[in-house]
Amino acid sequence: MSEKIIGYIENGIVVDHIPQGEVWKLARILGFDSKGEGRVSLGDGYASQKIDKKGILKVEGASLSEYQLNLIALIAENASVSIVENGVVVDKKKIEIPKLMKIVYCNNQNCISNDAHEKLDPKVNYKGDGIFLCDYCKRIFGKKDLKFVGID
Amino acid sequence: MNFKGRDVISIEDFSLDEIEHILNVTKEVEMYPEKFKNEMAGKIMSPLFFENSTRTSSSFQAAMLQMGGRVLDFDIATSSVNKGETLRDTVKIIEGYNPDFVIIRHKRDGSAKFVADLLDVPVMNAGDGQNQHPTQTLLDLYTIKELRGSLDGTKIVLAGDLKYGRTVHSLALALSKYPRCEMVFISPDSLRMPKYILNELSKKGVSFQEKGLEELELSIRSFPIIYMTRIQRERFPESLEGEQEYEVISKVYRLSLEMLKNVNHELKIMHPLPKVGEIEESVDETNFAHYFQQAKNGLYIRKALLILLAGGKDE
Ligand SMILES: [Zn+2]
Repeated sequence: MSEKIIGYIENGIVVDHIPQGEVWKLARILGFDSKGEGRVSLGDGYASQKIDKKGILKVEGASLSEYQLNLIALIAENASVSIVENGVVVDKKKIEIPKLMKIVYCNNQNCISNDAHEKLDPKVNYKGDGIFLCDYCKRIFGKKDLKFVGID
Repeated sequence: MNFKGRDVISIEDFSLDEIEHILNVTKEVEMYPEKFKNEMAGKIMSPLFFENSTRTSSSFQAAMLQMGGRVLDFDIATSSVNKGETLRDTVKIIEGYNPDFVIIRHKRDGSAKFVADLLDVPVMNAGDGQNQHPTQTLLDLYTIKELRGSLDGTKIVLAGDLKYGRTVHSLALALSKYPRCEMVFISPDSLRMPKYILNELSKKGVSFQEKGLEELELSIRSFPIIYMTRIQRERFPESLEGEQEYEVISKVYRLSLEMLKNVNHELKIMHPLPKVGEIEESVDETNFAHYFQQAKNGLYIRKALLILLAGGKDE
């Protein structure tokens, strides 16, 4: 159904059931913004059976890396991700928030992992229920405080 | 129970049974120091104090020396750390000296965990930023246990800078492992206990109340222990308003001899030291004051931990 809401995709990806308001951010962190390649279609505020209101992101000519799938899971845990070839869905990707990740920063500014001089990889655990825990300083933070490595 | 080779990064790394075992060994160390005077023979401790804390550093060194061990004298102030060496590199160099224990104090939260991950030898956290100071917490628990006989059902007032004061954070969390504890938190509104600590306490079923500084006097009439911490000037803005706010607070937040006239004779006053005026000097001489004993207990706790990490006293 969603294929009819916004632009048609011949070969590329479709991310559906993104929580309302998050689609723009998702496009940005996935690199599908003005700087990126491929034709991007975004839509937000559509009625959804699965969630309250949803956004949709379609990108012609794109594929998704493991890293990007993890980023999608972090922003939109319940999103569905489809791979489209010749106008038909050929694959549905399962997404899951990784248990331990180096792709988000600890949100505690005084944490050793945020020390510019030491240059450590962050180590953040996902504890479920939108709760993240830094492996170094043990500080707990929520989804709204996520900052992404290489992006923010 | 196995302590050999373990790191001491956070009080949260220890179960209630393990904490009780540490406290029991500490009691033994306090009562029979002779028994352990050669316990650290042939062993070397390397203290890495990136932040000045003579008190804690001396306590660790005394613990080692009194048990026949040696201490590597590594002066951070004159080392290449000041020339921009990374913590990782400094630690790698220290590793080359083959110490049996590394003690670290550093201004960054999580630095002790980072160092422990880099090293195979036991690492003890002597304070990482605002985060943890587990030997302080253990000595606080030990002192409370000495004063009351048990940690179950501890009723305690925690007062002062509850926002940035890591000793009160880890003490509250450690006590929450014990059943039926009750706490009163007294602080200026701008320095209240952080939400994430309160949430943790609620989850563990601790009953607590938050109060303003003006309730200090009333609270010590109904609670048997008060744990005071200092409020530092630097927590307030550098402006004139900040100056005034701090002045008002310093006046209100002051435990005087006068206030102690109406309290139960069994009231115990604790403080992690140093204090900066929140307890009137004349109080030091009374039977209410237990902070100097508390500081002394730090030596026994650190001895007990060194013994346990070296593989002694395992059960
Ligand atoms: Zn952290």
